[in-house]
Amino acid sequence: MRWRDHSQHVRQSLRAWVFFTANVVAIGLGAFLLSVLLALSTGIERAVDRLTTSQASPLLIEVRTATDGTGGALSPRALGTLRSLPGVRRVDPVVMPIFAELYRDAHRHVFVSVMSVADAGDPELARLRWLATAPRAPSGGAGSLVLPLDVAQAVGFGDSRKVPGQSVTLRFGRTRGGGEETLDLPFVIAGVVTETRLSRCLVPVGTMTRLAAWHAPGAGPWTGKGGAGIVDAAFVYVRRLADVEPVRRALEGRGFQTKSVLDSVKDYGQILLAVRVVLGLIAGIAFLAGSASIFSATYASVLRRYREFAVFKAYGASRRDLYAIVLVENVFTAAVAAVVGFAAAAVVCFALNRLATERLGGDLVPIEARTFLVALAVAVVTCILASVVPAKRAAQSSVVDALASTRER
Amino acid sequence: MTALYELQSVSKFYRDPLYRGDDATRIYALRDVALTIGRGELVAITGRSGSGKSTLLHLLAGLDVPSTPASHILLRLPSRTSAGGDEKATAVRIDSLSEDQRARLRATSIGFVFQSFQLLPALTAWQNVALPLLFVGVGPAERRERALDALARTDLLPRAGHLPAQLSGGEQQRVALARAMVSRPPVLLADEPTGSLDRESSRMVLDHLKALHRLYGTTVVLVTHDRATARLAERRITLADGQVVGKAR
Repeated sequence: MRWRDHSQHVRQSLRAWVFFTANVVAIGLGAFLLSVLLALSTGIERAVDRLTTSQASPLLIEVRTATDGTGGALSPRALGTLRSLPGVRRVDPVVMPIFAELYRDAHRHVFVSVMSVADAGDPELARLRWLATAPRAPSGGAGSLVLPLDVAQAVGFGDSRKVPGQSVTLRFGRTRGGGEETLDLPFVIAGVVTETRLSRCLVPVGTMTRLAAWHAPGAGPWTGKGGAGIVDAAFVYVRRLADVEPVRRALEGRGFQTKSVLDSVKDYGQILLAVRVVLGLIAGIAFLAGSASIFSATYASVLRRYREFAVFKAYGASRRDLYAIVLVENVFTAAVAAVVGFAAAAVVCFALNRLATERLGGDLVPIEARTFLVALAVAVVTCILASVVPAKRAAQSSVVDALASTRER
Repeated sequence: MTALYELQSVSKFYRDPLYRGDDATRIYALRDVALTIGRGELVAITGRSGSGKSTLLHLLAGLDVPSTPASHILLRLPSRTSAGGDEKATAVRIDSLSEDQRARLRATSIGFVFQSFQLLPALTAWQNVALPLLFVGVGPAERRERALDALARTDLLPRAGHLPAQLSGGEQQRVALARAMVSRPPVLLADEPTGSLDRESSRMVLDHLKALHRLYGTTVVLVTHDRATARLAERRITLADGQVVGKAR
């Protein structure tokens, strides 16, 4: 008799643990997915932010003429028109980029694209993340060159702090009378940055103008002094973010083509929204499955513990007390599940971040306290919602019915 | 003797679920029961199986409610005035209370002992005893202290930390008795408390029941079909077919 009672107690304890573990796994899976998805969403948002801010300042409008699909050269008069528009703070002409080979020595060279920067006060230079700079301003000298990190690494520069002041050669080429001519120009590296637009090397606009004139002599209809017809585009900086749209409308009204990083932000925003909706749906399905598991397990548990609830009632438990007992038990389950799920997510995110940091320069899936709080809140609310009907069933337990069933046994 | 329970026209019936609405299909467990139980009495309710003994006890405990509006179950609970210490009585109509009010009444004023002990297997003896105090807001330390005190009164203090499965039937019923008395209720209702026990265990449980009755002046209402147990009571009420057929001292 005693042994049977004892084994029954052991069985009941085991069954309770199995129910508890099953619920923790079900809701923990939801919490895990939600944590990972929230972290991924945050990571994507930050990556988009990094990407867009690395592309250009939000105050910058890139302007080209609308003469054809790719855009034609900007005339000095057109540049004057740009400068005259209200809201415009600064206009920097951009000489068309030229491809070249960058030589560190005879054995180490890489194919690059070269682009102009206006002067030391160019907002594009101010926006860049500098890893190392020479004592002089990066665009101060005619032969100064700014290298993106990947180009510096491609030609074998190790420590970026030691790169400024080192010499390299840029080899430009042009086609003349059926043959090919090259021009080797020495440059001193003025600085190294994490990245530039399209990973281009930056040279002062004066140097770039002379190079363009050599590269395509007599190009364009504006045969003035120094680089007529070679201004490919212009960077128009407005004073405030609110000026971007009015200035763009004014420019497009005058036949210019414009581009803004805000277009990309908008596109990325829509992509991010779609990603969030999809991820949210996956997490929602996971929690729905978890809540169904909690519901069925709790309901089965309440039916199994019917006599226990009846005994509580016989000794003074109100319906609210019984309701609270079921809810508190499941809230505890939810809290444990949220901790387990979040911990598992943290491990996965940590591993992903270690893999991603070197490639992306930041966490792919940043795991934060805010994510845990959201996962905890969702897990608790899910458990409470899934417990309402079983809790109501527990509250309705009848002592007389429970005793009758005990007698039958 | 002051009346503690006053019952008038108390009926309880069940309907055959296949024939709803037809009065002829009512199955009466109790029919027009009228009786009085005095304060401090030890009363035995006897009768054959199916005579309505347990149903009557459930109605007295508020675990169930009568079926007819004419039924009247009055409980006069003793209370003391703060100034002079004179005893007064608070009358409560159990049949008109809500389910939660009846639960509250049980928590504070009515102890109940079941035939099959109804101890929770996952809780130790003292935790089972402390259970009723949980629902009246007694703090953990006081709960434990009062539970151990109640167990001491039933000579089970050394078994306080044991699970029900580790106790004999008689010990389990004494734990159940301690649980019923832990909040010192003025009424103790016991449904066949010795029905699942051997003679020796029954004697021990009944001895403790009587001792608690004498110690606290608790009114005890005992349902039994065992004549020897019924003889311990000061008064016997006999039921047959849901009606009172005998009252004897």
